[in-house]
Amino acid sequence: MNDTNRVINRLLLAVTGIALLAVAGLAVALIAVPDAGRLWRGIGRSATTAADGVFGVRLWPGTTLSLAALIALAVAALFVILLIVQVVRAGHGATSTVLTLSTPDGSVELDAAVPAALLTEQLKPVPGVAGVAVSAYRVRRTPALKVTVRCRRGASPREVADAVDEAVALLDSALGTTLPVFAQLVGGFRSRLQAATRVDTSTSAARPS
Amino acid sequence: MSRVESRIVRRETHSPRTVAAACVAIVLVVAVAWLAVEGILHLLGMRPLLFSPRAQLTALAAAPSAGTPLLVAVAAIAGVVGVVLVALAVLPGRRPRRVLRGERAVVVADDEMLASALARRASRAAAVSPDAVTVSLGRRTGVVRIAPVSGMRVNRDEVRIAVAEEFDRAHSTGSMRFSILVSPTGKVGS
Repeated sequence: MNDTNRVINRLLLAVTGIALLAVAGLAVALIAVPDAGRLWRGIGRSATTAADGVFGVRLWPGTTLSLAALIALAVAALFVILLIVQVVRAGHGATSTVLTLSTPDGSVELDAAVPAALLTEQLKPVPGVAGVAVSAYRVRRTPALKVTVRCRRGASPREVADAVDEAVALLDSALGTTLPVFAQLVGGFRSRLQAATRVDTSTSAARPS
Repeated sequence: MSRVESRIVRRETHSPRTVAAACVAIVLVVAVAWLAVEGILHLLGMRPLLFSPRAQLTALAAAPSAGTPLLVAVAAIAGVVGVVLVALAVLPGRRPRRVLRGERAVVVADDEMLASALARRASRAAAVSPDAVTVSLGRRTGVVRIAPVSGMRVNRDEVRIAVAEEFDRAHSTGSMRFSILVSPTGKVGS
């Protein structure tokens, strides 16, 4: 639910992958095709002379700087900056304000802590729920709540999902508006049974024998 | 489901590929920065770090005489990494999560959480302890492994029906086929 640009992530992987496959293909061609080496050397020689020509054009006398070198460095800098931006931006997008109301007297901002407290209070006593965490994100510029419900081992998904629905309906009536709410049920085998089951009906006592 | 909600579901059930993309980006940044530094050093007339730009170009042009072992190594490494990267880019990268039916909220359950619920139900139906049951879920199939109490029979169909019912109760979309594997060796007092 964050700002990660997934299309660019996948494009980056695809372009790099295809480029590497092309390199592999060229290397295979150099090994396998007898004439490829000669062709490669010819192209390489002309490319070297072309590069020498382009980079040899001085911008002004007494300098080694050429227009081609400037452009190459600028492109490299831009490329590096864009890649770093893409890496750094991943994972952000959490917001603290979930609601902004403008009244004649001014505007009211509702912090994410308010719905978080409401939902946590509602969900904590539900059997099978071991913990609740609430955060807010911006999705398509509208704030949305993410509720992570840590469940105990063997908790019924239907019961927990119904409890979440109920809690969110209550939140709606408290806020007077409907926010998009996403709930994720996590946990299971790793969270051990706790005080919730004092009477264990699954062991030998309940077994027909 | 609104557009915002369907977007959330898609993003939460598919991998963002952030780790792979970040690794590729860091490698590319290092490579491009090295090329740029070599260019600047060359322009300033200083000694190169490894190869000057001109030397890089001539080395590249002389690739055919690099020798077969080097070319084979390049082809193998570039080929394998390339295939992996293209696969990462193209495959959907589903996360082990499922959308549950919900009236108001969008509810997604981790497969681990669902499996734990199914294991509880299976252990009831088979009358064994919860620790004697493991459940693993795939996209369309699930496997329930039961270590029975020695000397007791486990009714597989009963377990299958119970598990399927529990799954249907929780999950609205898609159907699952469960196979029940009862271990041939029982456990004493499990």
